[in-house]
Amino acid sequence: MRKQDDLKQELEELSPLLSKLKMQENPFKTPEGYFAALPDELMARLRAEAPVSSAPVRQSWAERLTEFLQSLMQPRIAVAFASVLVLIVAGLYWLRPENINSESPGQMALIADLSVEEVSDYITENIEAFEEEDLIVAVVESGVGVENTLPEMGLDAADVNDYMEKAIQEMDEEDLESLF
Amino acid sequence: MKDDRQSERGFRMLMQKYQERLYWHIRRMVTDHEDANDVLQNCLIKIFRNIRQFEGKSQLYTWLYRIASNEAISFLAQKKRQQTASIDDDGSHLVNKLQADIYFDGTEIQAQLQAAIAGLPEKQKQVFHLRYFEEMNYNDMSEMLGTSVGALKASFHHAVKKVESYLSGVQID
Repeated sequence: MRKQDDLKQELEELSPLLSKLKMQENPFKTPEGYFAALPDELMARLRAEAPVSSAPVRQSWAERLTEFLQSLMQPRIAVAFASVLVLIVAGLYWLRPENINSESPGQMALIADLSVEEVSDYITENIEAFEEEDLIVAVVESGVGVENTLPEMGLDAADVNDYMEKAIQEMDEEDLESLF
Repeated sequence: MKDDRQSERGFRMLMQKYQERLYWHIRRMVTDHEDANDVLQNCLIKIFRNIRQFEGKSQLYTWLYRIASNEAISFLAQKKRQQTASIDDDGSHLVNKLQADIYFDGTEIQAQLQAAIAGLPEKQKQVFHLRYFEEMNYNDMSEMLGTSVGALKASFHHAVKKVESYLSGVQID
């Protein structure tokens, strides 16, 4: 109020004409609903003008799994854990008799002669050649626990279970969706 | 994605709070609604993209006001370059334009007031807008424009006298 009174007094002293004009209604108008529609209009413009380079680049399944595990565990352990998990699980899946039976007799003989390490090496070198869905199915269907690989990393199953449980509890639905 | 949604929510809140003040500040400078809308949208886009550069050293509105003022001044300078010199000479062009504008519902003297303000030097125009229309006190204005209170009072005084003189000289039907 004091601010307006000061201005009123100042204007009356400086220019009675301008003081009188100030009392008149704002002559400028806007289209009806202009301010209500402005935020939506502006957000639409911002989305349309967003730089193309900011679009997310689709990562491979292996990269996303490694990232997921990195977010759950310390980086050094996570990388080793992810690699061993993927290779062992995928390798054992491909060595299962029911999978070998689906190949030709020649291929069956070849695969049967391969060690887990050799299969794992092959998968590592040619990971992009595998369909993402096949690898996910392989991991899920294998039913192989990771316990066997843990002693090499100085961990036991309880450590990992505790870590995973805690990390998953801290994730929200959106974090989980973003992984897949 | 989550960050984007948070940014959008925050920006919508900021718009709800300041869009009308910024619009009227710009509108009084550029007078035309379509021009004001263009300038305001460009200004808000700049604010959205640079909001992280706001350092909190001044009030948020002061920072927003500076962006809006700069945007409007640039727009007016660009527009002036495109117009012929004769158009701006006596302010009659602006008066005619306002009287034909569907978003201007004022009397002739209100249109003449806009023409008088448009003829002021840039700094006086800014001070006049802030004091006369936005009723800002001199201390806030001093922080916003980086000018002493005494200089601002003198500037407003000169601006008022020039506007009054202009209005006294025009014939109102």
